[in-house]
Amino acid sequence: MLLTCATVFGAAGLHADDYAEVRVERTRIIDLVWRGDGLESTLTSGDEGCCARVAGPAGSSFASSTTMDASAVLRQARRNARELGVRGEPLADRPPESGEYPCDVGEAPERVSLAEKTDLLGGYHASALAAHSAVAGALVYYRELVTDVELLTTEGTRIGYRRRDLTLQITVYADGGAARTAGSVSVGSGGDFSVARGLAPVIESAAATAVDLRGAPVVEPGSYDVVCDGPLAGVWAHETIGHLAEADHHRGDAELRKALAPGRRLGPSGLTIIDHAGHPGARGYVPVDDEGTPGGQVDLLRDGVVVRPRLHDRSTAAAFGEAPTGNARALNFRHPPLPRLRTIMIDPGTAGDEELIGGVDRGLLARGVLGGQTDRSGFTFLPAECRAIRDGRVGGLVRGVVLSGDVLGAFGAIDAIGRDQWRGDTSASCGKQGQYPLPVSSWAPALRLRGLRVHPG
Amino acid sequence: MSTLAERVAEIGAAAAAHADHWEVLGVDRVDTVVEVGSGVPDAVRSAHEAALCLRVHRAGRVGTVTTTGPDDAGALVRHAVRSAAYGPPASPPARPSPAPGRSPAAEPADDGEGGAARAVRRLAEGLGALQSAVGLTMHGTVSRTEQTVHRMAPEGHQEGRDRFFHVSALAEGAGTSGIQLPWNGWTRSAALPAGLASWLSTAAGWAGLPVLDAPSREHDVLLAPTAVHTLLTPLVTALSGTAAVSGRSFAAAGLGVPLLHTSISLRDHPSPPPAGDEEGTEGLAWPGSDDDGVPCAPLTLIDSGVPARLYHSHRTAVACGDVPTGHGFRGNALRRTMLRPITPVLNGATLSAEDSETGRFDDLLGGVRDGVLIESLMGGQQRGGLSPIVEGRIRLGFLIRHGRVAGVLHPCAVALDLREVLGARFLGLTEHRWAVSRIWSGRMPFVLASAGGGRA
Repeated sequence: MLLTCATVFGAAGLHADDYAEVRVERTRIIDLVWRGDGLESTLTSGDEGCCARVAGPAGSSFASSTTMDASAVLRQARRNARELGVRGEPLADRPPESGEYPCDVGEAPERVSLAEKTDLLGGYHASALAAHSAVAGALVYYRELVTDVELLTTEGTRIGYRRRDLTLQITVYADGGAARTAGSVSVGSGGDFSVARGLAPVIESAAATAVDLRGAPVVEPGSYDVVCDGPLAGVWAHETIGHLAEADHHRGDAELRKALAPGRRLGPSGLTIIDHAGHPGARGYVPVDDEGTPGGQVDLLRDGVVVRPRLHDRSTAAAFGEAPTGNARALNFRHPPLPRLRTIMIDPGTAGDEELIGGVDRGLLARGVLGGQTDRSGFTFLPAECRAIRDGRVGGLVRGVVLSGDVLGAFGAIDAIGRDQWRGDTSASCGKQGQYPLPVSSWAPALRLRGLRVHPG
Repeated sequence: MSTLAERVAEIGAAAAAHADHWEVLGVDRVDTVVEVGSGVPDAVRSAHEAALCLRVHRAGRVGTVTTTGPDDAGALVRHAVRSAAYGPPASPPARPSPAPGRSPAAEPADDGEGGAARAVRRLAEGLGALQSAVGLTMHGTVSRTEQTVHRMAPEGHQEGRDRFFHVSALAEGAGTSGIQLPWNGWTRSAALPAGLASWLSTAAGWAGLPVLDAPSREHDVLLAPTAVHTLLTPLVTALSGTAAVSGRSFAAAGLGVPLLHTSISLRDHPSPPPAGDEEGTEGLAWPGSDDDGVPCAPLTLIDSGVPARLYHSHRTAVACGDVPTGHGFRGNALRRTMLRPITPVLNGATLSAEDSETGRFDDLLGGVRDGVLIESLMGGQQRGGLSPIVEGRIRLGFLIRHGRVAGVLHPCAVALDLREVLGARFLGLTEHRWAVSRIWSGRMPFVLASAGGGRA
C-alpha cells in the first residue's frame, strides 16, 4: 500500500458527513496481434490513474484522472458535486474491509519474456495458415493485463491487491466462395500463462472446422431441439439470467422485478444457477469488489425457482434494502463500479452425453460461441460450430446457425442437464455501459433445450 | 506551448536519436458527464485523460508503446526500441500531410455563461424539459468533451482541438407497449438538437398503441436510422482494410461489381465546419490528418450502387497494395483511445440516393399500405464482415397500416439481406439524416424497401 488515509483524505476538505473513496490503479498491458499473413502489432502500455467518489449532503460525484494525485482528483469530485448539485444516493452499510489478496496461480505472464510470447503465438498463426490450402487468413489476438489496485475509503476500508487477466483468441478463416467460414480457439486465465501453451492440436481442429464448413449445408429455418455444450451454456446463462439479475436494471422496472420475484419457477427442477466470487486463477475471480465488499455467493435459481434475483453494489443494495453482494465492479479507474457478474455457475445435472443426444430426433449440437447479442427480452447467438442430430446420432456440420429466443422463456425449454461441468475460461468478456472488456468466468454443463428457434444467417 | 505539446516534442527529440523513423501522438481530454434519469440529473462524472503513444521504426521493425504515466522521454524510447525487436516489419512511413500544422477544425465552441459544468447541466435540464413537453420519460447522458491532439513526426507537428457535446437519450413510453426510443447526437453548443424534439413529438403518439405480431405475409419495410446503421454494418466492416487483410471480407473482391441499387452512394465526409448539418448541430471537427499522418479527405465507398473503394489505415493500405485513405485512428476521430491500435474507422459516413424518392419521414410512412417500421435491430456485428445478411431480432418495431403507425411489434426474429433492402427492393430514403454511432459513425436517413425486403 502506497496510499494512506491521512494523506489522501486530509487534504481534500471533506466534511464530517461526507463519504469518500479513492481507487488507484497501475496497469501494464501487452497486446500482440497477428492478422492476415503476419504480425500486425506489438504494443506495450503503461496505464495508470486514479478515481474518487464523494457522496454527502452537498451532492455526489465521480472523478477520474490519469494523474496520480489522489487528493486533487478527490477535490475535483467535490467541486463537481457542489457545482452540479446532484443528490447523492445512500450506500448500504457493511464493515470496513482491509487486507491483501493473493493472486499467484500457475505461470505468471509477466515472467514470460516478450520474445517467448511472440515465438509461441507467431507459431500458432503460422500453423493456422499452413493447416490447409483453403485457409484464407487467421487472426491471433493476445492480451495481458497486470494491475496493482489500492482502495481507500473514509469508512476505513484499506485494500491492496494485484489482479491479472490474459486472453487469447485465434480465428481461422477459410475461403468458401460465396461465404467465408471460420473456426476458432478461445482461452483465458486470471493469471496463468500456461493456458496459452500446447494449443497446436485445437488450432488444427479449428482450421479443419473452417475448411469443412465450406461444404456444409446451410441450416433449414425452423424449430430445433438444441444441445448446447458447456461453454455455450455458460455464456447463455451469463447473458440471460445473469444480466437480468444486475440490480440496477431492477430500478424502475416493475415488470422485471415481477418476472424475477423470489419463489417464481423459471426452469426445471435441477436447474440451479449461482453467481459467485470464483477461484484464484480464473478470470472471474473477484475476492473483493471495487467498493471493498468481499465476494459472496448469490443463488439466483435453485431447482428452477428464483431465490435471490439481485446482484448488488452498495447503492442498489441500499435502494432495495438488501445486503451488498460483492458485485460492484469497474473496468478500470476511468469508471465507477456497477453491479456486474463475476463467475456464473450452472450446477451439473445427471445426464450423460448419450442421454443428451439420444433424446433428440431432429436437432443440433451447438459448441462454443462466435458471437451474440441480448437485450432484456431476447437473445441471438451464433455458435462457433454446429452439427446436425438425427434420430439420436450426431451427424455432419451445418452452417449459418443463429439461435434466438426469449430470455426468460428459454429456461422453460430446458429438459436435460449434463453431468460434466465445464470450467475453463475463454477470451469472452462482458460489456455494460461502455465498460468492456470486463473479465468474467462461467462454469456450466451441457444443456438440452427443446424447440429453440433457429434461422440461417 | 502546452505541457502536452512540450512532452510530445521532448519524446520526439529523444526518439530521433535512436530510431530510423518515429511518430508521437499525444491526447489531452477532459470529459464532464451528467446522467439523467426520469428527466432529472442523477449522476455526475468527470474525467481527465492525458496519454502518449510512441511508435518507432528500428532495424526494419516497428515498436509501439503507450503511457498515461510520467515516464521520462528516454525511458519511453527505450521501451519502444525494445518492443521493436519483436515487432512487425516496418512499412514505409505514411506520406506526410501536405498542410502540417493546425487542423482545419472549427474553433472550440464557447460554453456560454457559467462555464463547462453549467453548460452540461443546462443540456441535461433540457432533457427534463423535453419530458414535460412530449410526455415520454427521458433517460440519458449528456457529456461535454474538450480534446487536444498532438502528432509529431520528422515531417512536422500537427495539432487539433475541439470541444463538443454528445447527447444520448432514451425516451420511454408509459403505455402497455413499453416502447423505448434511443436517440444519439452531437452539438457544438449547449442546446439540444432540434431533431430530437421533433422525433420525440412524433413518437410520443405511438406510446399507447397495442402490441401486435409482425405480419406473416410479405410487407414493406421502413428502417429508422439506427436500423439502417445496423443493416449497413456488415458492408462497412467488409469495406475496411482490416477485413480485407484478414481475408474475411465479402466485398473486397467485388470492387467494381454492382451490389446495391444504382442510385445509392455511401460517402465518408465528416461535416466540414462551419457548414453544419440538417439537425442544426453545427458539424463536428474534421481532423487534418489521421493518426498515421495521412490527410483526411472525403471518400466514396459505394458509388451508384457499386463498391468503389476500401477505407484504410496506412498499415492495411500497404498490406493490400492500396493507397492510404486517412482513416487510421486509435479509437476514432472524436475519441482517441491510445490503448487501441490504429485501425481504419469511418467517422462521418452518409447514405444517399440520387434520383430516388426522397422526402420527409411522414412522406415515406404515408406511402406504406402494409408494412413494419423497424426502429432498432440486433445482430449487425455478429458475423464481422463475413456475410451481407443481418440475422437477429427486431428490438423495437412498429406495425404500419394505411400509412399510419398502428401498433408496437412483439420482438421477433428477422433476417435482412442488405443487397435486397438496398438493392432491388429499395424505394427511397429521407432527405434528413440522424447521427448514429456504434463501431462506426455516420448520419443515416430513414430507408423504405418494398414488400419482400424483409422476412420478419
